[in-house]
Formats: sequence, C-alpha cells, structure tokens
Amino acid sequence: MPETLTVGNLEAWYGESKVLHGMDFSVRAGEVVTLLGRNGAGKTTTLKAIMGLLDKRSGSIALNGREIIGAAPYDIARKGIAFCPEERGIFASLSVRENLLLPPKVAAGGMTVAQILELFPNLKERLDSQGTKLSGGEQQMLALGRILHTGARILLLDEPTEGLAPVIIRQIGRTITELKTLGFTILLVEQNVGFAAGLADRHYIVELGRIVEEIPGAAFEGRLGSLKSYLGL
Amino acid sequence: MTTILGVPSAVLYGQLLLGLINGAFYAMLSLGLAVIFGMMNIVNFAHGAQYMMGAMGAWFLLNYLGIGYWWALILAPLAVGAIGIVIEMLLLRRLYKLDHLYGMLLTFGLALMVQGMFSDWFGSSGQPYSIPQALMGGNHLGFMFLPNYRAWVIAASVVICLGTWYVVERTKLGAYLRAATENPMLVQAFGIRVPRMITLTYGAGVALAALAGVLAAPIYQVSPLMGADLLIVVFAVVVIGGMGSIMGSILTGFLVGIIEGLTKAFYPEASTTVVFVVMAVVLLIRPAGLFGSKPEAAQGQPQSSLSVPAPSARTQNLIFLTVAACLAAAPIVVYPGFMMKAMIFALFACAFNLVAGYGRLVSFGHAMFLGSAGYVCGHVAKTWGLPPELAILAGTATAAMLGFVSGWLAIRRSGIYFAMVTLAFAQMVYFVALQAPFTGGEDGLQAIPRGMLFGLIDLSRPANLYTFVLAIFLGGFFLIMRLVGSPFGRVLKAISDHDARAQSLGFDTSRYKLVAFTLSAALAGLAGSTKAIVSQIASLTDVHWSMSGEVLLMTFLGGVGTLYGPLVGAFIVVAMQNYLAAFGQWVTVIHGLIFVVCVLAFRRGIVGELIEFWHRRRRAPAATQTVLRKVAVATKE
Amino acid sequence: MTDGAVYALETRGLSREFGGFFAVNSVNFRLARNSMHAVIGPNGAGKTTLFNLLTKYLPPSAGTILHDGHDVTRLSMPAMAKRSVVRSFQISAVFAGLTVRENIELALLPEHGLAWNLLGRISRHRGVLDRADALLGRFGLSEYAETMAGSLSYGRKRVLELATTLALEPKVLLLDEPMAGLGHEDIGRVTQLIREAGRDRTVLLVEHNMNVVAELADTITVMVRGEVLAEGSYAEVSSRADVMAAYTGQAHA
Repeated sequence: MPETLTVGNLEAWYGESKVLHGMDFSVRAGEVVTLLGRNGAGKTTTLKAIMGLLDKRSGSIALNGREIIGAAPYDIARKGIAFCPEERGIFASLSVRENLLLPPKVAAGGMTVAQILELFPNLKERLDSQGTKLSGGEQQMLALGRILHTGARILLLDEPTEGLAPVIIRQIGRTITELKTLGFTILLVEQNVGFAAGLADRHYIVELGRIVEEIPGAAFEGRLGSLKSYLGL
Repeated sequence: MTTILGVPSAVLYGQLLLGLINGAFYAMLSLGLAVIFGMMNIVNFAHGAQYMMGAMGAWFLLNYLGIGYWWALILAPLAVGAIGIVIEMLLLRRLYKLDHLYGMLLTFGLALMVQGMFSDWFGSSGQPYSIPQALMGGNHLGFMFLPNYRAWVIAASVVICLGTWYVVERTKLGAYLRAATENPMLVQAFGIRVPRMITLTYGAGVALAALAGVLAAPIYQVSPLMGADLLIVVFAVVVIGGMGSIMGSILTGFLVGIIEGLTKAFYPEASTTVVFVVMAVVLLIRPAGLFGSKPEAAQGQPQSSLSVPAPSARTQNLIFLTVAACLAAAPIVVYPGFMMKAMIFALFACAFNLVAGYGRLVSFGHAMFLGSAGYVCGHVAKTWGLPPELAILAGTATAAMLGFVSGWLAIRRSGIYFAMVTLAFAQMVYFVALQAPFTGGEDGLQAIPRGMLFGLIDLSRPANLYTFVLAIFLGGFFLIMRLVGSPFGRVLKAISDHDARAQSLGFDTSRYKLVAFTLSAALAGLAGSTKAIVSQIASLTDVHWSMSGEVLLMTFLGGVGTLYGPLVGAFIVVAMQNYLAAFGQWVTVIHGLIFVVCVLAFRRGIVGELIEFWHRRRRAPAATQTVLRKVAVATKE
Repeated sequence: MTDGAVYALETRGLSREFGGFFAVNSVNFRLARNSMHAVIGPNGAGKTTLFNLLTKYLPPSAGTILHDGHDVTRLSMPAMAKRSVVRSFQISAVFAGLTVRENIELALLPEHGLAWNLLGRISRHRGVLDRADALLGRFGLSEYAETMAGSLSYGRKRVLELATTLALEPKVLLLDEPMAGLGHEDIGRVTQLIREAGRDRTVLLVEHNMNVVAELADTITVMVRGEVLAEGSYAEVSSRADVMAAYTGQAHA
C-alpha cells in the first residue's frame, strides 16, 4: 500500500504559546512536497509536531488513513516516518559510522551501508572520524544517509540546504531527485526557493502557523512574485 | 629501614595502596554519577545511600539468610538497581522539565529517608563484614605486604570501570546513550524509547553504586552513614574532573585517591582536606574541571518563583511589627528555650534564603558559616574572656571572611555545581573543626560563658537573654528585609532570572553574587555566634553537612524566595525536633519525606503557596469584571 | 585612524570557530555612527554569531573589535554597557520575576547612582520613578506596570525589553532579531519604536524580515557562510545577483 500523510487542523504549542493554528495539507505517495515560508512561520514546528516532539498538539495526522496523533515519538518513527532535523543533528560524541547506524531499522528494505556510501561517496573515508568534524555538506549527507538506512519510506527533511555552498546544494538536490525516483515520499521544509522549485511536485506556503496557499510545481515560476512577498524577499 | 623523603617506604607503599583503594571507590561512584547526570541532568544525591544499601545488603544476606559474598556481589546490586528503577518511574520522571536543583533536592530527601531507616534498624555504629574465605591472606611483594582482598578490589574496580567505559564508548547501546545525552528528542524521533532507556540507565548507575558498596563492605565498617561522607568527597572529585567524560571520571577518581594516600604518608594532618584544596585550585585554574564538563543545559522553568508582586513597603513594615510583637509576647505561652532556638534557626534560614531564594544560588554548605562562627565566638568568649558582643562580632566576621573566600571560588560555577562546591568546602571546614586544637574535636567547646553584654546586662538572666536573642533576630531579619527590598535586592533577583541580560544592562553580576553570598554568610555567622552564647556549646553538629541539609529543609518547607517562609519553616522543623525527639532516627526519615513531598507537590513552600492562593482568589473576581466590561462595551457597539 | 573615520563599532579579521567550523570567518565590519545598520543573510550565515561577538556574549577565536577607535576585544558585557553599547536578546529577555515597572526601574539604577545601594528603597527616588513612568507611557506599557513581566504576551515582552534597553539611553543599540515571533500588528509597532530610537543613536540589527529591513535600515550587510558577501543600501544590495542567489539558490554564484 502506498504511503500518504494527511494533516488536518493541526495545532501545536511550545509551552504556553501556540505556534500552529490549524495546518491542513497532505503528501501523497511518491510525491515531493515543500513547505515554504519565512522564518518563524511554523514550518519546522510542523515537522516536529508530526514527529510528536512538541509539548502539546491537537488535530489529526493520518498515515495511510490511520490516525497517529496519539502515538509517542518513538512509535511514530517506527511506523515508517523518518526525520532529518534542521542543523542536521549530527551527534558530536559519535563517530560517522555510529551516527550512520544509530537509527534502528523500522521496516525491511532500507538501504545498506554500501548503497548509502555509493550515494554519498564523500563519507567513505570519513567513517571513523568524529561526526561533527565533517564539513557542513558532509554532515548533511550523513544526516540524510542515516535515515535512508532505516527502511522508512516517508522522509521529513528540514532545510537540508541551510548554510551550504551552491555546489553542495546541487548535489543534495540531485540526491533528493534520485530518492523520488526510488519511490520515497518526501516532505521538505525550505527557505531556498530556487532549490525547492526544481524539486517539488507541489508547494504549500506557510504563514503564522497556517497554510495560506497551495502552488502546483508547474505554476511555480508564474507565482514567483506573490511568493516573494510572502517570503519577505 | 629504607625511607623515601623521610617517610619509611613501607608506610608510603601502604598509604599508596590505601589511596588506590579509596580511588577505586571514588572512580566507581563518580562514574555512576556521571552516567546518570549525562542522561537525566540529575545529580544523584542518593548515590551514597545506594552505595550503603549495597554494603548493607551484603551484610543482611550474610547474617540473616546465610548468603555469602559472591552471591551478594550479584544479588545486592540487582536489588538496589531494581529499587532505583522504581524511584525513577515513580518520582524522578516528574522532574525532568524542572530546574536541575529539584532533582538534587529530591534525591537528597531520599538519601535522608534511607539513611534514617537504616540507622533505626541497625544503629549508627559500624558492623564488620568478613573477607570471603578465598580472598583471605596476602602476599609479600618484597617491598610490601599486599592483602589479597585489597588486590581483588583494585582489580575488580579497574575491570568494572573499564567495562563501563567500553559499554558506553564502544557499543551500540553506548551509542544510543551518548546520542540521548546530547539530544534525547532527536533520538526519540529515530524510534528509540528514550524514557525506558533513562529508567534503565538510572537503574544501572544505582546498581553500580551498590556493587561498589558490596566491594567496600569487607574493607570499611558497614554503617548507615558510610555513603554520605564518601559521597561528598566524590562530589569534589566530580568538580575536579568535570562530568564530561567517562574516562575522565575514572582517571580523576584514582588520581584523587593517590593524592590522598601520598598526603597521608607525608603530611597526615592534611589528608582529609587535600581533596578540597585540589578542588579549590582546579576551580581557580580550570573552572570547568580537568576533563571539561557537559555544559549545563539551559535551566528549566524556575517553578518556585512567585508570580505575584511584592507588597508595599507599608504593608511590609506592618507585618514585620506584628511578627515582632508576637515573638516578644511568645514566652508567656511558649517555652522560651524553644523560642530562642527557633529564632536563631530562623535567622540562619533567612540568611540562607537571601542567596538561595533571591539569588538562586542554592548552597549545600551553609553549615560552615553557622558552625565556624560558633567556634570562634565560643573561643573568644571562653579562652580570651572577651564580652559577648565582641565574641559575636568575631564569629560573624569569621563567617563573613569564610563566605567571601568560598563564595569567590564557588560563584565560578552555577546551579548544581555551585551546590556541590559549597558542600565540599563545608566538608573541608568540618574536617578542620574535627582536628583543629581549639575546637575540642568530638567534644566541642563546652561551658561557653554568656557574660555581661556591654559590661552592663547579665545574659545569664533568662529575661535578658530572651530579649537579646529577640533583638538580634529582629535586627537581622529587618536587615534582610531591607536588603531584599533595596535596589541591590532588585538587581539580585534580576540576575537570578536572567544573568546574561543583567550583564548586558551593565551589572557586574559576579560581584553582586559575591556580595550577597558574603552577607548571607555573615548573617548565618551571626546566628551561629548567638547560638554559641545561648546554648553555651559549640559542637561538630553545627558544621556537619546534615545542618546544611536542615537549613535547606526549613527554607524549602516554608517557601524559598519568600520573606517569611524560612521563619515558618524554621519554627516547624525545630518544633518537630523537640516534640518528635522520642522517635529517634525517624525524624531524619520525616525530614527526607518532607523534601520529597515539597519537591513533588508544593515547590513554593507553605508561605509561597499561601501567597499564591490568596492572590488567585483576589484575581479571580477581577478577571470576571474585565470580561463583563468587555461584554458591556461589545453590546454598546 | 588612517581614513579619518572612527566607527561606533569596527571589527578586523574577526573569527569564531566552533569545533573546526568557522561560523564567522575573518570578518571586517564597520558600523558607522548614527547609522541604522542591518545584518542579513540566510539561516546559518553567521549573523547571530557575529552579533554575539560584537556584544561580548562570545569571545572571538581571532581578530579585534574596536569601539570608537578603542580596542574592546577583551572587555566584558557589563563593561560594554558602561561604554553605552547595549544589546537585546533573540529570545525576549525580560526579568520574569519582576513587574514591568521593576524591569524598567532596574535599568535606571546605575545612572541614578543606585546600583550598589544595599538598604534604600527605589520608591524614595523620585527621579527613577518619573523616568520609569515616562518610559512606561512612551512604550504603551502603563496599564501593565504592575504585571509580572513573565506573564506578558510575547509581543509585549519584546516591547518591554526594548524599553528597558532604551532606558539606558545607549549610544549604540544592538538588536538581535527584534521581530522574531511577532505578529503583524506588533511588527508595525516595534518597527516604529526602533525608528524613533534610531533618530539620535547608532543601531545595529540582525533581522530576517526583509520588509522591516527595507523600511528601517540605511546600510545593509549581507552575510553568507560566515563571510560578508555584500554591503550597501537596500536597493544596491537587493539588485545584486549574487545576493539573490544566496537567498534563493537560483543562480549559480
């Protein structure tokens, strides 16, 4: 059965302050969908809310039609959703190899280490270095490779291009395209509009904790004007 | 006979061996503390009690069930570890989002409860536990005699330490642990059950302490307090090494043991204090510890602080006068001896509250100011024959100086480290008091003369004495009240809310902390000096760590950060001691229980909760009115 | 100074390393007196690190910082405040356990000689009270004067923080993402307050909201990957292809 993620009227709080005010969107099987929006709009929070990492959330998150909002974070991961956080979340006290093998397998069919190293050859010689001694680009590849190993088919990627040089960004872009052809379902949070434009099937614009607009990938260029005003560019 | 630097070589090797053995225990205990702290951000104050439970467990197994050493080595840690798991699931779990100090207070309470219960069942004197048959005897190594059991303890502890290191640093399980120490949220998001991992980690850390306890049983006397004193040294070890790395904890533990052993050989007088001197030096040179530290994570919400503005100056003065009148009239109905004792402790608690409540620097060593001031005051009055006012002045000044020096070192760290540093310094003062010639050692100073105040007022007359104590209490309390309400007090509160922001506004925050700490020490010294004159005794009780725990208890029970909380807390605790004295060790258990209940259920303390309650009741009708007004405006439009 | 100009703040070869990664890499940055200067850049560009270095919250790995031409690289945060360089924090930094009025009064203590007054009462000092009243009024906080700062809304906390900072009458005001987390109405208000504050002092702000930057700043520095990419007015900066590329990743830089 193909994977879909449907989010309905999702609200979420950091402590006392409410940051998501009813998000509605869906990601269909095999799609790449982006959440675009300015800083503080609630994009990262949405991913964290899906993973159950916030103090409080309400609404609906359905995975293949099954409600998962009540599940504990570790349980959500085991249902096949993998999360690649902002700033990569590479563990300093773990070697590259340990970082790569850390997330447990949640389903059969995850990539083998050999396949991951084929995808990111840079990591091959660095397997025994400390995780945070890698360059920013290598860390991002490690963060991506780490979740491909688990067998999860839905990937939540939070700003994978942040702070990276253009040549690395292009490489990450190629990787995401390749993952799409391999059938992964991807929800991508981006600030880098150009990067997102070339990849996604659909875009959602997030503002003040809500979806304010949905833009099909094909219509993207024509809407760049209104997009820039949303993003405050 | 060969000597090395004037010390017979046999003595030197013997002390080195002893140092190595002590070091082995420091290493095993600080290792467990580091693992627990890494995962849970809790300094496990019950670690010493759990070590004791291991030793006691072995003793019980042998004497009641006839189960010997080798089985005890497995059974006792399992049982204590299981208890640890229950503690984590029932109690500690509720504290992870709070300030780290609450974890420390709760485990301190648990330690008191456990120690109290065991003292009641077992008596506080030590019991021997014999060395197992297979490890009796020893070998002549040519330069020294090595008892087999000691060799076994060193070997076993090295294996245990390296084994722990291997598991944490080299296995998959260890990778989960390290990752969860850095970022538990993300590890959860990868599908790992972090809460269960935390539970098991605590259980394992606790079991490790119990295992050390079983190993220790044949070497040291098995007694209910064997862990408490050891734990304080281990805290000093932790401050020296930093809780950053497993190997760092192991190395520091052995290193400190060896330094202690060498000191015992070359300069025995300093052997009990050398650890604390090393700690002071490390604080000066490398405040983060030799092996770095896990940086203290952002502190949780300070739940204790009141969300209510302070009352006006007039209201405050009114309350103060009422309290003063009550205290003055109290001897008519209450036994004056009780009142005086309670007022002295209340002053002590209020002084403590000045830094703990308003500066959020929770000291675990305030007994050093109370006790040392008492000794100096007693000495000046008794041996020098000076009048009481000068004796009290001398005691207070001593405490202030001690406060300045220890504070100058301690404020380099904050939060739980500050608590550990102050506790360690207080223990150093305790050992000095135990050994110094003028303190009378175990007996203390007795028959301190009360004398003639200003050469005029005879303090041996009860009414005069009562008035004198009342005046000192009210004076000290008034001073604290003014300090708290002054611009200085405002800055202090601001610093405890947000240190960096206060700095950015131009306040040199460490100077404020130092002044507050010194003032607090001086006022605690005033209480201690007065206590020496009133009770005519200065003894080790007043410098012991349990006294530091008592003042914490009074302040937290009454309401930390409230003006009258410590006063209320002190009266309750002193009353409990007076009226529950017949229950013996159960008083300690009750103290521990109060800590646990306070931390779990009412962190604002009695007075704090009352103030909150009162304000909620007043605010509720006001809120309704606002709503009504809004409705009225809406309907008009 | 060789070129005759003395800057409110100037850095030379300023760097900050975090475990092998240069968050700020050899930056030469000049903050002209009485300018309204914004530092922008995509996430992770090193803006906040630069800001923390300038405000002495972090020590630099290399380089110097000058204030009015004097080397201040080794000074502490309080020492900078005494030189009238004051910063705000990204996560609104109010003293939660004090009332709104008490927060503002706190900032007024040093200039009234009360910073080390141990036994007096602030309520006896008319000067402080009047200044606090004036500031409360100016920032629209009068009706919240007796509210505990911790229970204010997020937007009001930011306003209070700005009021507390301006109570010091700093010559140089450093604002760390003053609009972060604010709603539309609050953004307008805070923009207005910053503009007023900037009339007679130097202001440096790190900000993500480009509308705000365009509206406020006369000079803009664009940072990318720890280095300065461009500097100039909004029109100049926004017309540069490499800047847009850094932001949108569209063109090849």
